[in-house]
Amino acid sequence: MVKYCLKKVAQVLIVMLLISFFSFAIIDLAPGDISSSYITEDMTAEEKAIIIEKLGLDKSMPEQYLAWLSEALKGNFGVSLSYKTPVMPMLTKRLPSTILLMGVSLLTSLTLSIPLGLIAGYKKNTWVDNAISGFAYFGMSIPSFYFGMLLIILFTAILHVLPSSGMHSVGVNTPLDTFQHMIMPVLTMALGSMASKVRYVRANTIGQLAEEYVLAAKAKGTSSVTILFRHVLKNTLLPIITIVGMNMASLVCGSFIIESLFGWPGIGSFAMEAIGKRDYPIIMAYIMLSGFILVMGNFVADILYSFADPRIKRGIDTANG
Amino acid sequence: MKKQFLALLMASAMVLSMAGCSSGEATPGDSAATPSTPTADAENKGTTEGDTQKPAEPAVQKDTFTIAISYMPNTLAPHSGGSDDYTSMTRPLYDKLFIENLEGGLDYYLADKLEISEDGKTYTVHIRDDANWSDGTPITTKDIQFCIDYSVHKYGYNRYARVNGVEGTVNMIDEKTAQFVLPEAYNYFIITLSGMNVYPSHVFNGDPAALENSTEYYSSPNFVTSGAYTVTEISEDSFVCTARDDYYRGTPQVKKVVMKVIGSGSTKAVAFENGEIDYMRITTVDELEKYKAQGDKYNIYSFPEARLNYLQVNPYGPANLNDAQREALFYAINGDEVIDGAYGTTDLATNPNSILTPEISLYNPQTPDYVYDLEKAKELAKSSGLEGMTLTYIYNADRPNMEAVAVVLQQQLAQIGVTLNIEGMDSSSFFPRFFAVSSYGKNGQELTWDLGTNGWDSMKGNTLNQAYSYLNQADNAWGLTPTCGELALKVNTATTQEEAQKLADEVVELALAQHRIYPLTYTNYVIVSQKNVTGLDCSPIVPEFIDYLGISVNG
Repeated sequence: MVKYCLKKVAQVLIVMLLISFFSFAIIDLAPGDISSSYITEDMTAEEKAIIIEKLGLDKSMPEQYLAWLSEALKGNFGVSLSYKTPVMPMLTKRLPSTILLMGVSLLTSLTLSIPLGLIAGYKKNTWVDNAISGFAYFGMSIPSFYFGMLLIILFTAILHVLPSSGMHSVGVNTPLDTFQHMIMPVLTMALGSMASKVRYVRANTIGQLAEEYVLAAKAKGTSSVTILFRHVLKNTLLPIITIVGMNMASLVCGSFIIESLFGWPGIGSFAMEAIGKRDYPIIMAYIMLSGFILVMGNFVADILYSFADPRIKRGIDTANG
Repeated sequence: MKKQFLALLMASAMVLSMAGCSSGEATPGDSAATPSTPTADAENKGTTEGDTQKPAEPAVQKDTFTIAISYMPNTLAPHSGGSDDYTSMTRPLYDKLFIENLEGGLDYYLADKLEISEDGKTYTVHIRDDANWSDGTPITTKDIQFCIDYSVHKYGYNRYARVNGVEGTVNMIDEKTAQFVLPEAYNYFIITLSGMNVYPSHVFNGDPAALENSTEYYSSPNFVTSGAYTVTEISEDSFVCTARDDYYRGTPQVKKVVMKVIGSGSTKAVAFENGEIDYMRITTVDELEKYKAQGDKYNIYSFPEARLNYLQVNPYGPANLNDAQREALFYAINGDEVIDGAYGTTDLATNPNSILTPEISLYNPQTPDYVYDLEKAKELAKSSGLEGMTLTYIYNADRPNMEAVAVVLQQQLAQIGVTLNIEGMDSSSFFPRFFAVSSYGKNGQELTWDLGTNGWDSMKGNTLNQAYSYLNQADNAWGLTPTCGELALKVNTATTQEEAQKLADEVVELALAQHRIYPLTYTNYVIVSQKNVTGLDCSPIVPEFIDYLGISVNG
């Protein structure tokens, strides 16, 4: 198991290096750079040259990349070109808002999707299954920004019961106020991710219900609810672990669309702003953070698999000596 | 039963979706399809619709004015901005020495007098005796000197006394009087001075490096300001500006200005209608009609944006259009149809006749405009070989209505057999491409487009303003003859208004005769506010609002 973990860590490092290089190259190839925020036509050639030099944009892409990489390896992700302040404190300042929003969304989607998936699988091909599956297809099909807009129109414009944007009302800093601001973004986020989870759990439930241990439990007179939630549930969780592992990146890095639509002051909207300005130190820090968490999420999911299903752990141990 | 339930579910989803489609958000395409309602005076100089002119009933003064911002800035330092959004956010916090107004005069803020010597070389600025920082420290020439020191620190020279590469001198006559002596007469210098940020020297002990690294200082409440407000609260998604009791121009009626992040897209319109914010900008005829129809709930303000949007023919473009081809293009453009199709109403934009806006004193309403003549355009297109050509057209998608303008032009030029490949992009991509020659030292992107639309803002005052840089082009950026540059220089060094006007007329006509630039629109800045908000047009300068003293919010 230790050997397996070390192998995975080495893979993570290589993947991170590749992510950093290709991301940097793509940013460099993208049209435009941050100098457009500073240069105006009435500036002299000298002033323009000084600005470009100060921004480090007079160097070649490999030079810029190596300079960035050597600092990044020391944990220094550079200074924002637009704000002239270190990048990491700016990201970490916005981290709690994103984790709060994404964490609650994830919990909401898990809390709803697991029982719905179980019920849909248990009531396979009945109207209950069709209703839940229809709901899941609706959630998968509707673009999140569009669903978010529908919620804003309904709850803010028509019913006037929820605020349209932001995280707090000005001058109010209570949990209830934050909760009110979170309802619509959480619902929007949760609906999209819930849909796929429902389908996974449903498919697994149908498979598990055909297993012999379920038949044995039924023969012993165990109630359907107990079979479903005590026995079948455990065995349907494997794909959920994978999905949650994959969702770890968005948990920390937020969602461009949802945060921008609802004016949520998290990392996603911050990265969106940085992309608009071509502020590459922020974009790179964001990409490295999301890439690292995505890779680590998968790694953690692999480890959790072995705890959820001891047969996997035995397989890993055998393969790695 | 199952089918009925599913049908009901689908129907509900569709009804909900239709509700979304019919929201107040209107696209440029929508406005193009809407009949125009030309109601505005072409020379509209600031109007307010609704009942704002009626005497207000005695009302309880509400103390908060809430403004939507598109993002939460990491700092509120006066020198960190550049974008219109950022300028708007910091307007309540920092005053300029003076600004050029839309009538060709100056509105004074930190300064109370500007004297220009007869030879046009010496500018003497006097700071108001009572001008003070929010910590009570008087604003003096030490702060002016600090700006100059910061310029030297940043650029290596004093940009506040430099003309055409030659540096003049700045003399601090006394604590309140600064004298800028230029090496030659240079009318444009008034724009340089009006854009000067005055920094508090005492806060940074006169050290420009400390100012350069002041992000942290300007990201916590209660930093020193020169404007009518100070920042008293900063949270993740908003900041609160509180009126100063000791502001030298008087105490603002609105006690708190809240800048709050509001989501993108139609969220802002919903937030406005829900009363979460007090005003927003309108850029489509559908929005305008919608809010006009609700005059009992909203006020509509309209004033000239002092902006010229224009079409540029790129002299370095792949098609490399010759004189006759450019002339054919311009004959094919119907300016009134551009306004009608892209804006839907002259309330939002009017058809220009010049590369100067009416807010510039050198503007001449008699400047001959391009003539729309489709038959002549067709003939010229055929004889010049333009017919059948495909041209690349670029525009800045961050600017309102530019996509709609592109579509209208595409349709118009199709009539003479020209195909436009339209490419919209964000500002960061657009500027290095459009200004590839003039600002980016021929980065290669000048070879990738034939036609492009751009805009010049803040086109007001007594100079050629942004048209000066255009006419006095760097590296033959825009394909004009050198005479244009020589004449523009002469306008800038003219010592009398008559001489400047004569030269300006000459250079504008000469530039237009070369069929490189087609003035497309003079835009109006139209905003809608809650009914209880008044005075938003008290100083109609964009980005808004330069003067908060006239704004009031009644309960």
